[in-house]
Amino acid sequence: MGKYEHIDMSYLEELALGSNKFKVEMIESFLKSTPESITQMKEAISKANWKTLGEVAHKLKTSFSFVGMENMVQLSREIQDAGLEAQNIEEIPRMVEELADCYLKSEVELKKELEELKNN
Amino acid sequence: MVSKRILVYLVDDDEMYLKTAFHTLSQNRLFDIKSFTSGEKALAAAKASKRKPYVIVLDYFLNTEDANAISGLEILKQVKQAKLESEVIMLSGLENIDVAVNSIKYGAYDYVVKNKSAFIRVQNDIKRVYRQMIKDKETKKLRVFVFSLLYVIGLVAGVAVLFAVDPTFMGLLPDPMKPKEKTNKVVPEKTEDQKVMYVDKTINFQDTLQK
Repeated sequence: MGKYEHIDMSYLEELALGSNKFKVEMIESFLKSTPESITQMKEAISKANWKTLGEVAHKLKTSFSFVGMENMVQLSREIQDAGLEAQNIEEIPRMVEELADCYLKSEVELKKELEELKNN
Repeated sequence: MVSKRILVYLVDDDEMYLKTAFHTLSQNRLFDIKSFTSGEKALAAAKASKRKPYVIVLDYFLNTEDANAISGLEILKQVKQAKLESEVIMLSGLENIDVAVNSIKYGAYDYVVKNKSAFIRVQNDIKRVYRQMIKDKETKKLRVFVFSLLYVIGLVAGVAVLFAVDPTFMGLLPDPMKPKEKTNKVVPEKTEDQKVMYVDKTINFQDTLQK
């Protein structure tokens, strides 16, 4: 069992090669860009712009992988495929809501990790 | 001074991925990394700079942030059209065979899926491209040297054949086989006045002696 329930920092640790500065930058980027991407996806749903929705989900997939949220990587992939192929459109709003909820849970843990890194 | 480091351009509109790629690849001291958030900026920099990138690591989607931005695939085509001699490694989170085939079709050196082993593969690709480029340059130098040598040998052989056929080179040089002609030096005959002057001078000299 890891230190956190929703995130896993092992991949980021591996990539950071001992650089705390890099980890701080990455977490800050994640906390800044993910809410923006979720907003973009919600707007794309309201405009039925499935291609944009798929492309945003595609980008989010990589971001979630950096903080070890494998279930979110999988969910983003499903949204991406649904958007890019315009299939299972009726499922998309539910999936995006689920993704947004999970992000909020991870946010608490990431802010805690960020605090620790900055204090070290 | 010419840098011996391998110049690599990283192009991705995903800030997190760009930072990670930069951080990871910069660990290798052989690499000189420059990062760009759009294909247009990277292409303009490559065209304007004297020092061209050996490798451009290009994201397949470059229009997530800006819908008007040119896609990675289009940038790949433009790199090839501009004859920059840079190899392009396409990166994408899409595990789609059509995307990979399309990239290779338009001249990409490799198509790498953005998974956990992506950076290792990209590093290996860059090193392979560099080694190949060095090998190509050496082959080119050797070819130029061999052609120059053959040219000089041909020139010398040609002159030798011409000399054997016509030693005078169409009369430009003396014939080495012909004996030299004897030249008789013609002493001009003295005029009557000169003879008279000579006799006078002799008489004067004898008179001086008698005195």
